[in-house]
Amino acid sequence: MIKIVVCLKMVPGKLIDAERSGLIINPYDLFVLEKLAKLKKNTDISVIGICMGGESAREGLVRSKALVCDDIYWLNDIKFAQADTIATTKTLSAAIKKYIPDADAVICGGHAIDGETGQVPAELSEKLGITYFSSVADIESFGHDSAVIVKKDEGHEMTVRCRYPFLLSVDSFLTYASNLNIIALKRAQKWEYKIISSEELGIAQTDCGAAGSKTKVINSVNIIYKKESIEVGGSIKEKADHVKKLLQQ
Amino acid sequence: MDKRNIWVVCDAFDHVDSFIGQLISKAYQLSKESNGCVQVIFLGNTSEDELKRCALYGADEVVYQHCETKDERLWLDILSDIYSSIGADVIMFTNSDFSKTLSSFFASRFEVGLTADCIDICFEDENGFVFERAAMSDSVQARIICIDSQCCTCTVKKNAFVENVINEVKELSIRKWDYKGSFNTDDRYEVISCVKREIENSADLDNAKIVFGVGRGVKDKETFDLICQAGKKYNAVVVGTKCVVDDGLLPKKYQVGQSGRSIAPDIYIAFGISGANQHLVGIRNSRQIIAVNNNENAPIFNIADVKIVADVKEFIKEFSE
Repeated sequence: MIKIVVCLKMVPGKLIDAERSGLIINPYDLFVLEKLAKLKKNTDISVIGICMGGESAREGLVRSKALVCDDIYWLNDIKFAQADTIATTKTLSAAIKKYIPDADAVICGGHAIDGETGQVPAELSEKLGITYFSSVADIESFGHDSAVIVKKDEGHEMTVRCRYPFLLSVDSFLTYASNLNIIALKRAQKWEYKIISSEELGIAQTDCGAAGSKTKVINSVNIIYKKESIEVGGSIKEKADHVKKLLQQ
Repeated sequence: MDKRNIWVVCDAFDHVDSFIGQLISKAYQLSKESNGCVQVIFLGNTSEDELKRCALYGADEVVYQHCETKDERLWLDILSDIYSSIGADVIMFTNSDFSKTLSSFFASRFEVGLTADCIDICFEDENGFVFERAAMSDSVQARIICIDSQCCTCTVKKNAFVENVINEVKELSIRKWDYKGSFNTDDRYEVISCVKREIENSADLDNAKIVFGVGRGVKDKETFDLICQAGKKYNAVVVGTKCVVDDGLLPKKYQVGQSGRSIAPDIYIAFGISGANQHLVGIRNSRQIIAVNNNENAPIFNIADVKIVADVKEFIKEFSE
């Protein structure tokens, strides 16, 4: 059986829809889950979700479980909080190495809509030492020793066969899950989620969360500087003529 | 004290393009502020004359490693080799897909801080190098520093900095690197089929001298069409704010602002743009900003050089004649 790890991030729902409160599955990760749910119907794959997040991530994890995940590792510890991409990568890679060392594929959404850095997938592949494929638009199939994916880069659309193990960064997204089965959802709600603390993971405090981060936001500023502007008066025609003159210079 | 090494990693492969020119220009400015040395790390295949062009923007040194392929893993190994040998305090990458991957690999390998899509970098005695980028869900910029990190790395947004030819003659040293490792690239995949796809050509926007911006104040298609017509007449490219693009008036590639592109034309005319911060960060490098808006208190006027209080529709009718 092909073992697939999906990295899941929960992001504020209001980023998709001003009316939505709480956290939702990052739309890029949701695309991956939906795609895997489709492929799972006729391929022997096992899908393992891995998520770093607090209690507010629960609802998204329930949906991920109901959609496709066979198992979920929930890295839930206040010590993981405030992690930058380096600390996040270290935590995720430690978990994958410890719990799913035989993963054939690791799949990440290309970026999270609340951070938009898009750095974690590449950083994680480097930490895990596996081949990296960026700008993945679609996943076609999982075979015995390789998978077929579609990659869209700056000028080409390529169909590529990649040998396991590898990491994909997927750049397609979905904002709403389409086919969530009510019975599956109920089952997923009752399922017992494994909560993994930093201690259990065996990661040093200085390697995760804020303490393990290599970047820090010191403050926020407005960088738009006020200018002294010249106001053009007169009739509409005079105003338009003034601008025309500026353009002709 | 030793000079700080400020690196610019060139990803253009066979020439020095204007994006790299922008990065070197910024590095030069930072070198002045921080007592630094600007080093361009050039991997690829080009001539010595082309490498010399780096001096125009203020580079002190070029480290050149000849290689025939542009592959992230190979480049990472070469970069690591150079870094381990000469070291760097700051490393600037472009934000192309290639360099985003390369910088992430690098940051992960050396466990150093990486800030994505910077729109500004400065040096402060108290904080060292500070990187500014959009703070999501906020109309301000986050100022980021690296902590407990051997060096600071970043990717830079295109057109965030202005390409600037310096007016001093610099002695440029070119150091040819001799990478001893393997040049083999990953063979763990096979391309089954490959089709060229139409790329979103943005050259028109990067090189445009005149740009017209459309905001929510442009309320009907007729006004929009008149702006486009005038755009043709003056050889101007028409762009829009996020809401105009979300409304479908313009394709995404013409969205200017925090979540879109940054531009730096000679003249930018803002039609019916109120001036949300999200848009302003994308136009702040324009040489001259002319704003047309019916609300005399619109924030766009705060950064405009020329202020015109007028109804956009009436104005454009007159203007496009």
